[in-house]
Amino acid sequence: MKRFSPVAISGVGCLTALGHDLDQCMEAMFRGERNCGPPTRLSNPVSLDYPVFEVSPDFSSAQDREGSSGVRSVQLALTAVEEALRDARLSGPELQNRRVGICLGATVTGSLKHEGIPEAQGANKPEYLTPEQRFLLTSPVLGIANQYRASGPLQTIVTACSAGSDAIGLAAQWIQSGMCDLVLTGGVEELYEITYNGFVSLMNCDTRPCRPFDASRNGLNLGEGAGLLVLESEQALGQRGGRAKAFVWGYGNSSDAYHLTSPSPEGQGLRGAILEALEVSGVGPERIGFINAHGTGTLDNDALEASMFREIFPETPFFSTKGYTGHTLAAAGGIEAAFTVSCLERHHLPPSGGFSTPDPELPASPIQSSLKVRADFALSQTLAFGGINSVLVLGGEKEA
Amino acid sequence: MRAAVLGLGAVGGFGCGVGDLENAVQNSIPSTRLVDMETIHGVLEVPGVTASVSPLEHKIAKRFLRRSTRFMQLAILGSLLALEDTGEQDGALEGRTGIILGTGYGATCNTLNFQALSPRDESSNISPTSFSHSVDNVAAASIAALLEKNTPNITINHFDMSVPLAFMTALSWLQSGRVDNVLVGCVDEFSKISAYHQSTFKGDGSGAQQCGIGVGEGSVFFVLAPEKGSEISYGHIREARTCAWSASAPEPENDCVYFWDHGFQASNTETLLRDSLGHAPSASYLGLYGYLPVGLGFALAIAALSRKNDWVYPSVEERGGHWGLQGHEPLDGRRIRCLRPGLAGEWGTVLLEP
Repeated sequence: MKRFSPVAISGVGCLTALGHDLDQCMEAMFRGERNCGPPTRLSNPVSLDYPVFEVSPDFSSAQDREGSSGVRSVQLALTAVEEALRDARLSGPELQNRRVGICLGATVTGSLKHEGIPEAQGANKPEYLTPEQRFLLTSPVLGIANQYRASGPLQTIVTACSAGSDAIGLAAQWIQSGMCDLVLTGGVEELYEITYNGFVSLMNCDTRPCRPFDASRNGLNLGEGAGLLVLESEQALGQRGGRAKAFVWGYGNSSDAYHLTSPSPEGQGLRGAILEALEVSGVGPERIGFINAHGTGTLDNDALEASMFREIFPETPFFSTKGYTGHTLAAAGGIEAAFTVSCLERHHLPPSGGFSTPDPELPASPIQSSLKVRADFALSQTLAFGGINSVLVLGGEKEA
Repeated sequence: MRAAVLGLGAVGGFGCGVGDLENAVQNSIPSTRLVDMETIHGVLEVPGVTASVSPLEHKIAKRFLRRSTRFMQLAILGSLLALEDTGEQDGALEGRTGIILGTGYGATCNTLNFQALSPRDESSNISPTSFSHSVDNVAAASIAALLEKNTPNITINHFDMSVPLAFMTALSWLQSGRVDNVLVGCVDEFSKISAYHQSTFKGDGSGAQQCGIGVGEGSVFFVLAPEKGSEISYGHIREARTCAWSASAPEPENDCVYFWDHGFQASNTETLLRDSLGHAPSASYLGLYGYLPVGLGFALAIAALSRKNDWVYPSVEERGGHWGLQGHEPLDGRRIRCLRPGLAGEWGTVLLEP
C-alpha cells in the first residue's frame, strides 16, 4: 500500500445546532451547550418523544439567494462552503480558473428527497417531479457546483453515516492524483421524517439528550448540519500564497461484512479502517494525540469503539461531539473533521458531550472535562449502516 | 495505470449472464415489453426492460434471499456472475478485493420514493427492516457480508455520472495499492416513478411510448485488477472520468468507436457531444437494457464483449428509430470510448483498450 501524500486543508466551514459557523460551534461546545428538543420541522413524525438537534432557522443568506432551490440540504451545504472559502481566503471568482471538484457525503438527496420541493417550485404535487428533476433540485453537490461554476468532477458518496469521512478521503485522492487543484468536500444532512421515523423504528433513539460512552447511555439523537473542508494541492496553495490549516494524512475504510445495522462485536472492519489509515499516513498509534470518536450513545457502537481504543490507543484521550450536535449521519464525517481541525489548532479538546459517569463495562472512557493537548496528529472516525467504517488521520504539520 | 477486466456479470431485460447479453447484442434483440404497474390512478401499462432475479435462488441461501430487497438481489446476482466469470474456483479472488457500487436511483427507488403515488403513505409506518434496507450502501454491504470481505467498500449515487465515478475510484484504488482487485458494480431498479412519468406525460413529446425506449433495470459488475501484461480478452480500462461541458469537450479520436448511453430525450449536453464528435463511428444499445441512470455500465459490458469477439455490433436503439452503426463491422483493434451525456451539463466516459 502506497504512503498517502498529505493534502492541505486550507479552509473549514461548519454549522450545526450549536451555531452557524465553526467558531460558534466550538465555543458552544466548550460552554457545554446542548440545544436539542422535539422536532419542529417534520411534517409526519411518528412521535415527538425523541429529541433532535436542529439548526436554527435563521442560519443563512443562502436561503434567499437567487437561483437557490430552496432545499434545506443545499442551503446548509452552501452556508458551510461560504465559510470554508472565507476561511481559505478564496473568493468565488478565484475558483473559476481552477480545476475545482466537489465530493460530498449525503443521504437526503436525489431520488429519496421530495419534501420541500413542491413549495419551492410552485408545483402542487411531488409526483410531478421526475427522478431527474429531483436530482437536479436536491443535490447539494450540484447546488454548490452551480453557485461556484465548478468545472471538475462532482460526486455524491452515500455510505450512510461514514459518507462525510469517505468523501474527504476520496477527495484527498483527487488532489494527490493531480485531477483537481482544489476540492470542496465533507458532508451534509438535514433532518427528514423518513430518517427520523426510521431510527425510531430501530428503537435506538434516546428520549433524553444522548450520553455517548456514559453508563446511562440509551441511544442516539438525530441532528443536522454540514461540515465542509477546502482541500488544495500544494502547487495551487503556493501559487496564491495560501496557508494550510492542517493536512489530511491518511484515510482508511473497511467493511465489517457482518450486519446491516449492528457493528461487528469483534470490530474487524473498524480495526481494518484504523490500521489502513495509520499505515498510509506513516503515523504510528503512539503519535495520535487525540481521537474524535463516532460515539453515538448506542450501547453497541460505544462498546466497540471503547474496546478498539483500549486495544490500539490505550493512552490516547478521546471524546464524542454527538452529545452537542446529535448524530448528523452523512454530515458527521465532515462536521467532526472540522471540529478535529479546530482542536488541533486550538490545542484544546472539549469535554465529551453528555458524558458524566464511566461505564464499568467499557474498557475505556472519554474525557470528562476540557483538555489542553499539543497534538501533531488526530483521528476522526465514523461507523455506518452496512458495517462501513471510515477513519481519517488529520495533522497540523506537513513534516512528520 | 490500466486495469484488466477479468470478469463480467450482467443481469437485465436481455437475461442473466454474459451469454444472454452476448446473444442479445449479436442478434440485435430489443428487450422492451409492457409492464403492469399499480398506482393510485389504477393499473398502468408502461414500456419497461425488466430483469429476473430468480437465478439467485440457486446461488445463495434462501434465508439470505428472504432478508433482501430487489435492489440487493440485483446487486448480489450481478456480483456473483462477475466472480464466476473470472474462472477462478468458486469465484474466489486472491488478496484484498475492494467493492465499489454506483447507482442512480439507489435503494429507495420504489419504496419511499414512490410514496406519493402509492395507495398508502409509508413514511409514518416504517419498519426497522425496510428502513435499514433504504440506505443506499445496503447492496455493497450485503455483497461484502456474503463474500466475507473486510475491505474498502464505497457506494456512489450521483445519478447518471455514478458509473464513470465508480470506475474512476476503482482505478485510483488499484493504483494506490489499497486493494489487489476491485468488484465494480452498477445497479438500478425499474423506476416506477420514471415509468409513470413517461407514460402519463407522453403528450409532451418525451414519453417512452412515443420514443419506444423502456425504463430499464439491472445490474452489471466487473472484476478489475492491475494490468499484468498478459492478453485479456475483455480488454483494459485506460481511463474513467467526468467533465463539465463548459470545461472540456471531447476531441474525436481516430482509433476509437463510441458507445453511447443516454436518456429518453437528447439533452443539451448530448447534442453538443454529438456535434463535437462529428461522424465518428458510434453505436448505442439502449434497446437491450433500457433507460436507467447506470446505463453506461451496460454499454461498457457490451464494449467488453465487442473487444472479446473483435466485432462491433449493430445499434439496438429505439429512440426515434435506429441510429448509429446498422451492421456488424470488425473492431480491428480500435479502442471503445463509452459516453454518457449528463443531466447537469457533465459528460462521463470510460475508455476500454485492447
